[in-house]
Amino acid sequence: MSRFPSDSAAAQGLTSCPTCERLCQSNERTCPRCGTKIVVRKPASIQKTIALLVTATVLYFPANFLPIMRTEQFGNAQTNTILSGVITLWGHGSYVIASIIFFASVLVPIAKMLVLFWLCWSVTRARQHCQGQRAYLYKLTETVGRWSMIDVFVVAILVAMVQLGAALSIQPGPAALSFAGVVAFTMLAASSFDSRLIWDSLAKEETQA
Amino acid sequence: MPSGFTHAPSPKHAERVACPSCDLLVDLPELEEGQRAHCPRCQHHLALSPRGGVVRPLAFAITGLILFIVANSFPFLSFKASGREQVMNLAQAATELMRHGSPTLACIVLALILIGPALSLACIVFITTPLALGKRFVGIATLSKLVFRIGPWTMADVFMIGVLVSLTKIASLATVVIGLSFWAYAGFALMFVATMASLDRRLLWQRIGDPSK
Ligand SMILES: [Zn+2]
Ligand SMILES: [Zn+2]
Repeated sequence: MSRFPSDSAAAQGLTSCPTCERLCQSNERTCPRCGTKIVVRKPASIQKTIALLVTATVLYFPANFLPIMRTEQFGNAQTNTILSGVITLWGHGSYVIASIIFFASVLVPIAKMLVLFWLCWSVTRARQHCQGQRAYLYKLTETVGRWSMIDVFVVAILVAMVQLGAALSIQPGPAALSFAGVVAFTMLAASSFDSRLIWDSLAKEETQA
Repeated sequence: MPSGFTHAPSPKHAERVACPSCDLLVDLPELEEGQRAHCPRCQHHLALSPRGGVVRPLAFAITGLILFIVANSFPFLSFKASGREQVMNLAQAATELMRHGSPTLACIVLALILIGPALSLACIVFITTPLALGKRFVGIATLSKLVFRIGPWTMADVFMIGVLVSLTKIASLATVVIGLSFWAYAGFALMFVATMASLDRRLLWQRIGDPSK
């Protein structure tokens, strides 16, 4: 009984180079074309993904509860968290922008972490279903992730632009860095997950059939 | 009946690949210009036969780099409130964070919006210029690896959306004037996306080829 489904490259002793996608022999040490190390499956993929996800989860709390920026206007200081920023925008009638920020900064990071945790858990199960849907979900988390950085850039631009001394100034808050960390660590987690693990479960069905 | 008919040649296959996303072995068909190939099992995008080969991404990348220089040479936005005016240039999106006590964040922003995208485009110019002339050079594989490694970390397009969100956030506080640099960076972001979309990973590596051969 093979660990890999019979129509997969791994079952034939072949591996796609992770950098240039050349079909290499699995026992080759490095890709003859680009020199990248050849691995049949990413080593310790699930452990690495979970470690990175835990880091992102820990950072998610300061990112959401600490202020992301501080506005000083004629001596009055006002702090904003990610969520209070969304509420303010909504209150001013900028529904589209408020929705974009809510989606990119609040919903996407948490959904992405949950999906990746669930994928890590699901590939270790004995019986697995819905390979196609899980592969699609994984692809979605991979593509959508970078767009969460919007809020970090908003802080960077506002801090650079709004510096009128005592009249009006904006300072970055501690949540900005934590939030950038959440986005970066979930992106790293997504890239360390090996999506081929989702399909390897088909090997078990083949032997049962 | 000619004997060739009974032994019809098997359909012409460009290359056998393993889907990087699900590991299925796939025989890629010969693609016509502008055609794409997807994995039959997981729908992963496997190959694109780009129109214009490597010349098109080269042209996009050069245009992008010129716009990048313009974007760094003029005011990005200026901001008027309470009788005072402040002019912001592009690099200040990072350097002002440094001045206000967030040096780590400043470096992250600098890398994501300026260094990363510009470095990518510069590498692509260095890679595709000799390829378009049918030449190769030592180190081309290293540069190409770098481009794909930093791919997801280049955020020119995300930054542009960030700028639009910032504008709506402060529109109520003051008058904002959009500078020449703003339009140049918007063009740069567009060229960046176009370069990446017209560059096919498989085709590029095929052109680079095996150094042993
Ligand atoms: Zn390779
Ligand atoms: Zn596939």
